[in-house]
Amino acid sequence: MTVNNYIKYLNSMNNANSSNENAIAESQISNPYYEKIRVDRNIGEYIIQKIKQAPNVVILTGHAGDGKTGLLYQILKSLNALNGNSISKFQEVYSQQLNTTIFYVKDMSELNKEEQINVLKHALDIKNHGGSSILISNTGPLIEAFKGLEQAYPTGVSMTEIEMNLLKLMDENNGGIGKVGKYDVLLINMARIDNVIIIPRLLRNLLADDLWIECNNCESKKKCPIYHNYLSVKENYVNVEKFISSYYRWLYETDRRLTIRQILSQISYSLTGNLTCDDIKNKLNGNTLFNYHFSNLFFGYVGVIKNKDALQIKAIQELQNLQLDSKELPNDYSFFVQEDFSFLTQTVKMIIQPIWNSEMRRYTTSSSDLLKSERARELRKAVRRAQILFGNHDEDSISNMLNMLFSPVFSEYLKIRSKQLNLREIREIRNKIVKALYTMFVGFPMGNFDEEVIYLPVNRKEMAQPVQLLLGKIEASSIHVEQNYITSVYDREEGYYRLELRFENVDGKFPISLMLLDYFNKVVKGAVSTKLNPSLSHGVDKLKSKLYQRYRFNGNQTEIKILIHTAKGPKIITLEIYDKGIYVK
Amino acid sequence: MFPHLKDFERDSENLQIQIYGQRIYRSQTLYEYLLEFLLVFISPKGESDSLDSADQGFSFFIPKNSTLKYFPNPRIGLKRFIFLNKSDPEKRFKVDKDALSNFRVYLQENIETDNSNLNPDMVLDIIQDLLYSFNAVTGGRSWFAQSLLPVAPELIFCEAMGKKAVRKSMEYKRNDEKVDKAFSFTDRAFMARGGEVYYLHVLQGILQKPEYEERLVEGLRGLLQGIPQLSEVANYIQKMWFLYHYEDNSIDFDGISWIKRETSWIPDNYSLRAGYTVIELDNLLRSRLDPFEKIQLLGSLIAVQIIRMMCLQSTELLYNDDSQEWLIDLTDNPNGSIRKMAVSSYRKLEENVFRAVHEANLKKYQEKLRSQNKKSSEIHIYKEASEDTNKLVRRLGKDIEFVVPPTGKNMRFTFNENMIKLLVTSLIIPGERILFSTFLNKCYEHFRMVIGPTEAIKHFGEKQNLDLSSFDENVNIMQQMLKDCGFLRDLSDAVSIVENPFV
Repeated sequence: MTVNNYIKYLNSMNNANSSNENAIAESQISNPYYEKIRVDRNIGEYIIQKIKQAPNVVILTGHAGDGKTGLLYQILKSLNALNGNSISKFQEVYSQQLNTTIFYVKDMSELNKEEQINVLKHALDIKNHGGSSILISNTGPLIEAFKGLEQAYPTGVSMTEIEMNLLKLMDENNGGIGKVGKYDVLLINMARIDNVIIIPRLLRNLLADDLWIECNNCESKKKCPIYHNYLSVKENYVNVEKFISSYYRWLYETDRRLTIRQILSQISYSLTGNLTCDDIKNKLNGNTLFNYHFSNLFFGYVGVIKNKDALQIKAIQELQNLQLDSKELPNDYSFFVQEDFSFLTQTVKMIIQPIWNSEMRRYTTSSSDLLKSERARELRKAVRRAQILFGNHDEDSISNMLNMLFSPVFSEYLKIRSKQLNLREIREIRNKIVKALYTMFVGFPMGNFDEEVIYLPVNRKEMAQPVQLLLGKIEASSIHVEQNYITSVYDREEGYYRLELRFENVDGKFPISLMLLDYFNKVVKGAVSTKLNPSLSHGVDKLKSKLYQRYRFNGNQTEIKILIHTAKGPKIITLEIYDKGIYVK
Repeated sequence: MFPHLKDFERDSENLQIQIYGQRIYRSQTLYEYLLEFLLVFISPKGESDSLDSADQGFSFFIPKNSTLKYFPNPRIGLKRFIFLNKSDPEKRFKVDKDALSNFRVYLQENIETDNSNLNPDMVLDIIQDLLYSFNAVTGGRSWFAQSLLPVAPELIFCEAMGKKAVRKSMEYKRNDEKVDKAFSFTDRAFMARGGEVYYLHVLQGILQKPEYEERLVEGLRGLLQGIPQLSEVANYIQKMWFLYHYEDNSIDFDGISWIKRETSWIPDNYSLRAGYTVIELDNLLRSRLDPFEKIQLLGSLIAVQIIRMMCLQSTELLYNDDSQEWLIDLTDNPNGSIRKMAVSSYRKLEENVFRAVHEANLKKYQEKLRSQNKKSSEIHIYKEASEDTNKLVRRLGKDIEFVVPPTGKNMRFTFNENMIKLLVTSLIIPGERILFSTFLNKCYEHFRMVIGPTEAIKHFGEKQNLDLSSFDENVNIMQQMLKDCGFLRDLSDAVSIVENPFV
């Protein structure tokens, strides 16, 4: 019987089953497959450079599963400072390459309080002897250890200051050396690093041909859903990768970032459904190719039924919250009415169409309602899932689909991130933003009769008033939209283009995030409720208060400008108050 | 009592006044607390009965051993111009209608326009619309009882009562002082004085933390004087009314361009949280918010602080301890243990706030009522007291949606988006970031809010069989709410910071 141990390894990487022996980092590292799928991260090179330049105390923190241990492994390995494949709790090692000692701590939370203080002290001290240290710690123990250190070896710094220093470094995460009390450290917060960029490499590694050789030669491959998942993804690789990356990007931009481990958990589960080679040979029957197809597993389904275990995987939970498979898609008509499945890739079509056909026979022979039946509805959702991942998309159709699934501006945003726009494209975005700002500040939409001016009236948020005191105005010509390239100190691949809004009278630029772009779009389209997501509204409020400051009419306070909204557009009148009279212009 | 008033017969006041000060009264709306507080703040004030020895206003004046007197400007002419023809027609009297129409003719004569589309009457409508657009408390009230949001000091009006019997029979005549004067501005039997109570409470805080005086003055100035154009228009209208109505300049302006009002006293115990009050006020005032939003939050803050003051006073009197927790239920689970605890905790809170009234001197008050031939039964007295104590807490809490549900049983504390914003802007210095756990601790320290397990243990003690997992759930929801509102960021594993971003 052929058994591919790689399948076992994939099954060990998610938490949807009880035997997740590899879900923690160190057991991963000791597994031979780890070396095959591991993605070298450029941030590792950054840290090595820093250590080469000068003795340094490097502190790695971040969420569990952000790849801290993996990064330590990568660094030690590339410095030839590793004994075999194992990493101790803490150890001082010598790197010939650097001609220096390196003290590392694998995880502070594995140590007791006293040990924590001791290793921290050692990590900080070693710098004075020309060595460097790399210390991995959760935030809680890190703060406590620094406080404990101060108590044991006082330097006259308050506990609050230590805490504030650490929080600031973690929040800014700018790759520079910062102070915690009296000590200089290079603190890197992995939770603040864009990890979506490594997905293409990760996916490629997972599907590397040599890992699937046994499957290729397996006698059960015709009935094996895992093998078919492998084939399906390979066949439509570009589109699968695009959709998966876009989904994680969406979470990242909407402040629901996943860790690498959570991502890996979803992808590995989607390939295997946690089936074993043994299961496939002996136990399975029925529509297994369909039930355990990647498109169903990725969304947390087995066939048309939601799988409880799969919900243990955070990335699947988040995906179900989005209810993407309940949204209308461009090919719905050809699928559901014309029963034309040619939009799907060959492998997937062969799996799905027979299921659909046999299921539909029920509705022609029985009286159950095709539109209302829960079963039929669930099946349509499954077809949509297949369409999302395994449609024969070209660039335009996948962009269009992403807009329908996530937000009408999502593809535009992805494009803005990835390449330089031409002047016409930037101008169109700018005009849209000017219109949106007008509505936001004035309370009424910008009409065609308006000059290119944004008024700044006193405006009660909850109700737009037809008569408003006018405090200032912005000539639209002083509003600019620029696309700038943002680089990351850690990783050149992390660089991206960003749209920024600039006003001539205001210092600084205002980055336009995905959510802000989405909001501007909604405002321009005249969405009924234009209540801004509160997490954005602070940024907008701050911008607003700056604009009101900088674009205020200056000069005579006895001259009062009033903005009146009439059926023919806004009119401005000026009242000049002098002694007993008012002069109206 | 604060300020210490010698020979003051506190015991003959009604029970709720004896306990909670002079006075917090049932019918005052949320904005009225704020407006009244600001009115005391901006008005000239001092200890003497005469305006001449009063200060310039925009001040915190601490009286030594007598009551605080303040001298607001009623600006009846302006008030009539803004509100009369937008108010309930049934409640407009002929004397005022005539006064206004004559006045508008006079104003029109002084308006010159070079715009052929605009005649002077339209210009007046525009000015009126502009000022009226800031209306705050309207709901079918008479014109003289209406008010605007405090967007300029001149637009903060003092309460005025026009008695129907008096005004109905009046005829409009120029130079007749009664047109402006025949209102009651100081009728203590009717007027609520919650804003005065709050002003005195802020004074208690300034006594403890004098460094906050200047900051608060500046903060309030910034809030009130941000739009000088509105002051310009308001002053013009009021000045023109004087020019028109009082041709004779020799009249006595007492009661016309200023009136005298007098704050009373509050219990000493309020000072136990007064230090927190000035910090919260200062943080909110320094937060860079949309001015209207800030005004709204300020109104809510005052309500929350007043409820806290009353809770504090009640348990201090009953148990010698500031022990009344506010158990916040954020779970949406009617059968959950948090819900049950929150409901019973809130019930106990109302009980305590009302029970404290029994510490007052009932006999003395009854004697006074009897001597005035008024109802003096115990039942009646306690029923009245309940209206101004626990029922008032309930109404204030519901007004800001801090107490839910709006009607029906199972009342309890919860947070909506506004409350979250209020807590962040009042407990955190603008621009400062603190640990989420520190933030929860501050909520407890300032307001005795119990949200998560740490504060639950701290408050109820280890012994109680607390269901801590349900507090975990509660605190997770709090964390998500803060995140959704953009105030909380996850830094890394299980550590998040809360930030007041309005810097």
